[in-house]
Formats: sequence, structure tokens, C-alpha cells
Amino acid sequence: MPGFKPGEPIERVVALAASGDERAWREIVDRYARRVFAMARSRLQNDDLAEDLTQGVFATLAEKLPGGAYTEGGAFESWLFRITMNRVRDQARRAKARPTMLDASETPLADPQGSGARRPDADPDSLARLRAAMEGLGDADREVIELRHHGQMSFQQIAELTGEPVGTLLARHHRALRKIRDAMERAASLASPRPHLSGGQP
Amino acid sequence: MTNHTSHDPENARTPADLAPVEQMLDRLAQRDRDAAAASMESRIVLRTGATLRATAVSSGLVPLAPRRTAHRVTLALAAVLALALSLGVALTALRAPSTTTPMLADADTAPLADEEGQWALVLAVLESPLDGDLDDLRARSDLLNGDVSAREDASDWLAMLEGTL
Repeated sequence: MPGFKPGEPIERVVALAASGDERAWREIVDRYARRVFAMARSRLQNDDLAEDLTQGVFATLAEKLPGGAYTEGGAFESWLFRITMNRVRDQARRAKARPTMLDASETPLADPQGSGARRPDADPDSLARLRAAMEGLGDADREVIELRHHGQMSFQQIAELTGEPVGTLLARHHRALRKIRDAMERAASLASPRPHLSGGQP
Repeated sequence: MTNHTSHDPENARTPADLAPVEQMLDRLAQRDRDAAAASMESRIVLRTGATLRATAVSSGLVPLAPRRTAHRVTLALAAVLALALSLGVALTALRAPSTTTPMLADADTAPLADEEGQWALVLAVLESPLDGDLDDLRARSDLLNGDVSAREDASDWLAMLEGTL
């Protein structure tokens, strides 16, 4: 089998890596490690734990890939993120006492246009509220959000991973977005309550 | 950025009032991806690359790498050299009592090859094909050293050599 070339489709890269091609393996790590890391960081809120988990996921892949454990045709990402999701669940269960929130040390969200201007939602408070709102979600809702945004998966891929219909996942995603929005609005109103209007109303 | 940009038909299904929340989540996720150390990928490859290759080899998906073969060749060479030197040391040790204490001479001190012959064997061994015939090496040793190759220490070396090759 000819060796790895840049730009190969993922299934070809996976096949090459499974045969021990080190460049193909590096390509897989480059494509997916940060997405795995982001899912872990979002849930565990700890950079060291997130990297340990990411290392563990890829160690599992390295052990199972050449042995033929991956047999799902075009669903490599679903396989990878299923491993990730299971690890994240286990780790989160073990670390029930929530680690320190990341928000205190985070800088405001950058403007994607690179103008340097701060977005209306870019202050640390809104970031903290967003993370807190995600904490308030149930596991199923939160997993859809994190697979979709942190894992950058399509709904079709999430459907392959969870075994649920795409329509169900879309509805869950919308419901989770709504819960997040409502929770953030409640938190914002508590942080800066509206002053009472004059006019004698108590 | 995420896969679900405006050309993604799935994105069109997001209600307008929820779009800002979705955009915030995208930015938060990007921040989480960017928070990984710059060297994380290299550390992962360093830690897992050998596992991947070893598993592929043990699964029969890939032959031994040339460098690994070279490593085995080096080991084999070292073993052959050690064998030859061992025989030389044994011969020297056997010869010494025969010159200093002639009264102790017995069958073990039967006529032995000279040192030139021993080193000729070393050279012959080193120049021989590495996948060559072990019996041939044993025969050369026998011819040179008579019954020395039947001694316990020489047999051990030959057994080790067989295992290495």
C-alpha cells in the first residue's frame, strides 16, 4: 500500500495508520486531538485532566486501530468521539467535586474578525454565565451541545454515534440552546437587577 | 470553525432567536480547542506512535522495519563476535596451565589452534552471510578448536547465538 500523502480522505488516512504508517497517524492526531481536548475541557474544566484524557483516547486508538477494532466503514469520527464521550463521562463521574472553574483566568472572547473590539457577549461574565448555563443542562442535552460545537460534528455524525434519529437530536439541540439562553438571561438579570421605576410602585 | 457554517443545511434549522447562543457556543468551543498546549499533538504522537506500530506488527499488518532488522543484525554480529572471543579466551585459559604446570596437562589441553587461527575464525564469522548457516559456523569452530566446541561454555554461546539469529 502506497504511503500517506497530505490531503488524503480520512478513511484512507485511517487505513494507512492502521497499517502502522506513522505520518498517517500524525495526521489523525493533528486533525482530531484538539476537538477531543475541547470536549474534555468543556466538561472537566481542567486543562491537565483534559490533556490526560486526550492522550488516553489516542492511546486507545493506537491499540485498537491496527487490531481491526474499527470496522464502522465511514464512521471513523463517530467511533472516535464515542470513545471520547465515554471517557469524559467516566472522568466527570470520578471528579464529582467540580474542579476550579476556568473562567476566572480566561480572557474575553476574541472578535473573530480580528478587529480587537470586544463583542457584546465577550466579557468574562458572559463567558462564566455560558459555562454555568451548560453546567445546568442534563447529560443528554449537554452531550449534543458539546459534540456539535466542541467536537465539530454534524447532526448526522452525532446520530451515528448515539443511535438516535437526526430529528430527535435537532430538537434536543434547540431545547438545549433555549435552556442556555434562558439560564444566561436569568443570571444576567440577577447580576444587574433593573432599578425600580419611579411612580410609587413598591 | 465548526462544520455547520451557513452552507450547512442543518444550520438553517436553528431558530433565529437561538442563533446568538449558538454563535457564542462556537466561540467558546474554539477557545477550548485553542487552550490545548502547542506541543500536545507531538506529545501524543511520541507516546502512542510506538504502540501503533507494535500493534500493527503483531497483527501482521506490517513487516519488521529495516531499522529493526538492522538492530537484529547488530545483535547477531555482537553475539558472533562474543562467541568467537569466548572461544579464544577458553583456548588461552586451557593453554596457560599446560605451559606453567605441565604436570596437570590432560585431555582438555589437547593440541589447540594458534591465536592466528582464532582470529581468522573471528574474521570468517564476521564476513559470513548473517542469515548464513549456523552449522557452518559450528563446523568451522570444531575444525579449529577440536573438542572445545563441545565444552559447556562454548555450547552455551552457540545456543545463545542460535536464539539471536
